[in-house]
Amino acid sequence: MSTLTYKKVNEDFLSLLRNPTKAWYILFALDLLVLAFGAACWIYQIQTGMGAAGKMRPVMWALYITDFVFWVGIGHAGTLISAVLFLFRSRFRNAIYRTAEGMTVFAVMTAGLFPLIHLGRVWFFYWLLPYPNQRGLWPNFRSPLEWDVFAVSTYLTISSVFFFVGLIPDLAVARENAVGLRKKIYTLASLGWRGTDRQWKHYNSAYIYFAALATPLVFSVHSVVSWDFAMSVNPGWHGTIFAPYFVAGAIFSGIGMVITLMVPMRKIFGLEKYLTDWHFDSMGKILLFTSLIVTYAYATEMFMAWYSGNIFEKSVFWDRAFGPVGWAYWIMVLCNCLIPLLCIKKSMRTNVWGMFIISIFVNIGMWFERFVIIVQSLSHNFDPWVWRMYQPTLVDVGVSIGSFAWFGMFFLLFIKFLPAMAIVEMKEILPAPRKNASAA
Amino acid sequence: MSDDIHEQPLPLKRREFLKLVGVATAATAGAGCLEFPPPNELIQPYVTAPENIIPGVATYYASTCRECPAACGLHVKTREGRAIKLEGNPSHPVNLGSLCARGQSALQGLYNPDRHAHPKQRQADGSFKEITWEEAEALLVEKLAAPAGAVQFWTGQETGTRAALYDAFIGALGSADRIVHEPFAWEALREGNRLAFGRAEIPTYDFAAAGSVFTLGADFLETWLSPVEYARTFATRHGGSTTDAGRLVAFESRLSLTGSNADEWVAIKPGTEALAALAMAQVIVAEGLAKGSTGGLDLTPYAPANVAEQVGVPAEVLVRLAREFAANGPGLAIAGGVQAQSARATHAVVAANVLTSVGGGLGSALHFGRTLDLGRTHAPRDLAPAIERMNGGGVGVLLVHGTNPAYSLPGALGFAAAAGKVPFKVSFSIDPDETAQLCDLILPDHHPLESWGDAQAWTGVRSLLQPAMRPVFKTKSTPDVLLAAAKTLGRTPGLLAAATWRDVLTAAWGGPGAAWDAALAAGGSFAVASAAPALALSGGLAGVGFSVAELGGDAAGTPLVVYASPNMYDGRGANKPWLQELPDPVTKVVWDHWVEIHPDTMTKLGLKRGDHVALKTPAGTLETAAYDYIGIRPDVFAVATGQGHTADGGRYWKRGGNVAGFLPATYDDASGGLAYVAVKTTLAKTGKKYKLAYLGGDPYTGGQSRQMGRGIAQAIPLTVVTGKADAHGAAAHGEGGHGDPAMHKPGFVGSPVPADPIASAAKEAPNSAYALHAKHKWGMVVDLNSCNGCQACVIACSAENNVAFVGKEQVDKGREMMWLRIERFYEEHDGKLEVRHVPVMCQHCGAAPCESVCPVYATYHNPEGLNAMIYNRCVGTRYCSNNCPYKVRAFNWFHYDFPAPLNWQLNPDVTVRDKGVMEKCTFCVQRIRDAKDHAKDEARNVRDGEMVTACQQTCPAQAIVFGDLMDSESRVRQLVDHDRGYKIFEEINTYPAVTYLKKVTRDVPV
Repeated sequence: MSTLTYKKVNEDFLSLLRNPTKAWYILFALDLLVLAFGAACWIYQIQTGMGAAGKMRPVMWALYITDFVFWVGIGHAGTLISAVLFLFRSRFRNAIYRTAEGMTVFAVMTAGLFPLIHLGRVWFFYWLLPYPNQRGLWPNFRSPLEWDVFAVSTYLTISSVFFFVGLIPDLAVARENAVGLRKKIYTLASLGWRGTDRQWKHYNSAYIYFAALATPLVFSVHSVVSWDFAMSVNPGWHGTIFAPYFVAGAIFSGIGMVITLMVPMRKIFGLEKYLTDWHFDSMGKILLFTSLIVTYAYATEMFMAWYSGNIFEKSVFWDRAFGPVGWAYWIMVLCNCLIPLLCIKKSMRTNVWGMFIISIFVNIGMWFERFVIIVQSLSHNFDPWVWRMYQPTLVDVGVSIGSFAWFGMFFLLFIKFLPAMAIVEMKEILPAPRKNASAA
Repeated sequence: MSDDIHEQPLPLKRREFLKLVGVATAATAGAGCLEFPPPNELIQPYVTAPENIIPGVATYYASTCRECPAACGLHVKTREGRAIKLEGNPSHPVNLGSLCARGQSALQGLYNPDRHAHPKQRQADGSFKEITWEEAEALLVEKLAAPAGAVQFWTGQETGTRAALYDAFIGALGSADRIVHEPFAWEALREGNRLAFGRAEIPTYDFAAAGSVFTLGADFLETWLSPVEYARTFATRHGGSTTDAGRLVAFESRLSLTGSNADEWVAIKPGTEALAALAMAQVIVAEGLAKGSTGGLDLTPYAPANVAEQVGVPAEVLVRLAREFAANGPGLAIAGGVQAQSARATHAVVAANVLTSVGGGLGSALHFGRTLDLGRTHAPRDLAPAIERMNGGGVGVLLVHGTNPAYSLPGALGFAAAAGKVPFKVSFSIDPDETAQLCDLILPDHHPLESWGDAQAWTGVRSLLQPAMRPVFKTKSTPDVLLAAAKTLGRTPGLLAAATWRDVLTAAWGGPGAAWDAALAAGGSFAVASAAPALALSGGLAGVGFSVAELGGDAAGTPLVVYASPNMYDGRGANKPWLQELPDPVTKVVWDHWVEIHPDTMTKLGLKRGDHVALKTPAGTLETAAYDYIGIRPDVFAVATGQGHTADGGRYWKRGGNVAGFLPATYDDASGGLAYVAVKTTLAKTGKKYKLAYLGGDPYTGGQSRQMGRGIAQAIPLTVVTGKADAHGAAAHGEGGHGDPAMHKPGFVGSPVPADPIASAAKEAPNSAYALHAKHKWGMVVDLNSCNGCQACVIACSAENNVAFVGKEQVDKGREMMWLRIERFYEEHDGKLEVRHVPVMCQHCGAAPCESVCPVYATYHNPEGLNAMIYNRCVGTRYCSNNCPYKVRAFNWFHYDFPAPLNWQLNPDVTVRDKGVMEKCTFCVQRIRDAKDHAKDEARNVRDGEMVTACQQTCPAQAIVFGDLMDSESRVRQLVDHDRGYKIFEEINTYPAVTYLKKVTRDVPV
């Protein structure tokens, strides 16, 4: 960061908000096309019934819940990076946290769709909400699905607010250079931010409080999501290890997704100065750490299945590794346990494109982890008479791919309309002399 | 309410048009682009209430089942003028209230959307045109007045007054050419009994009296003679908690459902039934154990050592079984059934009678105290002259009623071609079957449930048929058509003078009056002869030359065994979606036809399950799909009857090949019955892409046929039940068939050894749990020792609870909706195959995993211990199903259709579920409600036995008991703590309300 000044930081980051290029438009149009296909699949499914997707007895949850858990998991890195690392004063967070937070909000928005998509009667989705009604009916607070409703909506609320609070000073910066409608919107959104000492004082206190509030959610949301499975009686699901196992997996996949998004951004927008080897080194360490936790969890599951002597558990885990969808399990092991081991070497952690490739594997591996846990466990349940493997249909796949487009749409809009890098926080970590130079 | 669905809609009036437009606009605006359930219908009260109809209260009519010749008594449940369910008539001596799957499915014959809805006449271009009854009857009379030749009348088997009417009619036309064709008419049985006892009749087979039953191909639990009756009597001796339990050994090359209930399966070569029976009789006689004569037959040539090779079974097995048969008397040997219908079928019957005789069963297990009247039929061999008359041009008018020879006779007999030579052909068929397609005029009869009639089951047991509702379609009772035609023709001798068919029938029953009324109410007159007169073989059996049936066809080919499909029967079940979707009881294939091949042979031939293959015989080619079946001899192929319809009219029935059609015209030498086991066949892949849909079988396309040590279908050796051995010893020595060795480790799943503290605790807990319930705690006990896997309960459940059928593709995807399924597990011990059938329905767990996970309380525990399901509240998260260890919940993946008028069958007491909703067994909550309402009206508590679930009601083996667990006197309460009792997956602590009683396996020491 030898040549950076406050002015340069402002210019560099605000340049992202300039009118999009043709490439952006093409990308955006493609994205909308895929999204439209996904939406069409969903509409078709609503019209014809859930049977349009490939589910059946015994696998009544499949790609949709896999996608749900996947996206909730992705939505973990943002809060972890911005809130937890903020509290721990890890400076490397400043360059990546805005993107990570945006990713979190969009991922949770994507995840939140799936519980709706997978409902047999989506038009009654509001029955899951505790609202006063003349029938005097309440939802069942014993159901982990009901906990999900609260966990996910709370998480979405807090991470959105946290995202927005972090944006305020930067929106003010953007306001300064914007014209026309943009200026009005940024003015409104920056809530009259003038950067006075008094405002900074309040702002910093508020930010710490929000960070403190968001931190436990990092652990609670995915714990609750894991209880959708752990609270059931199903072999392969019913395990006390699930909450920490899922939280570690979520952070693992979230960091993976952050790297996947940051590397192309860095390249396209020329942000090499801001996203340095140091950042990737740090993220690589988190990736490695969480990968080891996840690996330990896989090993523990297998060990407990054998050690418990429970034939249902033994059978489902044997089938998981060596059954007809054993390939999915081994993809998961390869992507989540073996490939991230490369991060042991610092040279690999600082190899940006190397990290990018590893992160892609992590994304794939973590998707398969959820697929294996959900689909394989259900397919190999208590009663052998109903064992049956699930076959996805075009609708399942279309909706799943559409969810990536849905996420992509928000992300593409985000980098064009909101400061994708935390301008103020980047300034904070500039060495002191340059701060003065920027005043010029 | 208009009763006439054929009323033409009036042209729209302006006002109505405007109303419709308004409604349509509102509906479109409201529903948007989503397909919501159809708009509400008006529910209007009767302006003038019809007599005997109280809305909401069912009316029952006693009638008789005509789905097979057994003539079981029916109670037709009607609601608001529509028949909605068939139940057995509890006072009818044949079935005592039970009914099989086929019988109950008669409703789908009644409401079949493909029935002939009106009279039709063939046009010059070959198509059929609707005509009025006046035109149709005028045409009939015109042709009969001046026929271009003799009149030939083909009918199905009739055991009542109809037969007399038909004979009178054909006689009045100056002809005696009435042909009676019934595909399964058991000619060999009558002929065999004539040879053995001098009586060409079907005797009483009393399974309850038999200590040993050896069946040589007779599938008496499925299609043979009177399956409902036999299932019941067999269960009384072989099932339940009897300790002198009878023993069943099945000698058949292909394991049938009946064979799967046997204590031992002996896979003999096809066509060798007679030799197997005689060999055992020889051992019994030679060892001085005989309790009866051999009818003058010298059995020495049939010693096991001599025939073992021909029969395909080691001599020592025959010797051992013979000793067991003699030791566990009285012995009953039965032969027959389609699977044993070879060119030596009659000899097999005679040989079985000899074995029964030496086993001491004559006069007790087999007697002529009452005979089963299956009416007069023509053996297929005797049909050739009739067909020849048609071919020769001597027949001017052909009338066909209640039989389908174009489908059920071998193609080689040339019925269709011969019928083409008849100038005018009239069908009275209710279905658009193959024979009706050949005819020039179709005059559809009423369905038996819409008709008057009668039938005779046993001696002294006469059953009445009465219309349970007004006709669904514009059909007309054939006897009335014939009476009218006779009158117009001016030929009215005898019976034909009567005004209506009902008058004929009433007269035959002694005329109107109190007796007639009583008979109508009771469903007939039942004077059951209970005596079992002594019986002995007549001499002169030496003249019967017993030998092995020679099979025709390619000498290097594989013998083809044909068996009667328990669901399709002779083909009449094929257009009923319930029966198509009901899995075959042993292979569990649905909606299809297949050839059964031993897995080893499959490997040898390079076949995989579901491969499309062609079976060739000199008479034709049968295209079907290969299915690897463990219960068949490796050197035999087997196919079922009943599929392979070719007529265009049936929307559900064009599946696989028609077995009867491709068989050569060969007959049982002695009786002239059609030889179904007659030919060797060669098999070749056709290369066509094909898929079979089935339950169970290989694990990843649809279930797994092994228990994997999970104790779902548990068994206990008889010696343990009777205290002759302890569980440890028996298990350790692996005696008899009792499951995976893993099950016998202490502390393991379903362990019979009470060492598992969790299992013991679970045994205690339900008792205290009862106290938590308000007034009742409903529970069920299923006795696996009685259950034979016949699946009558499955259809009863579907009929009672409006369970949708989904079709082959959806079943293949694992989306069958049935609330109750029979899981069929294979066990193998010492190379012996044992089959176990377990009915699995919602277990109504005391601590139900499904309840706690539903986010909207759509499923909850009601105060009476029912795991209740509120369809309206369900949003379709499907979590309940995922968390159900028994996987008994069915999800409505789509909106499932009941094509009109099949929807008329729907039970108005039960909600019809639409897409997106979970459903499952409710323990027939509407029936519980009904019983409680009755009790309340009479100001008393419900009595045990008043609440009867649909599955329990129909079970021929009485394997299901339902009742109140809080009532210490109730039957179900007595049974839950039975020694044989266990609960499936007890160790998950779900406290199921369903208790299973272990199957008893027999280890008879010799």
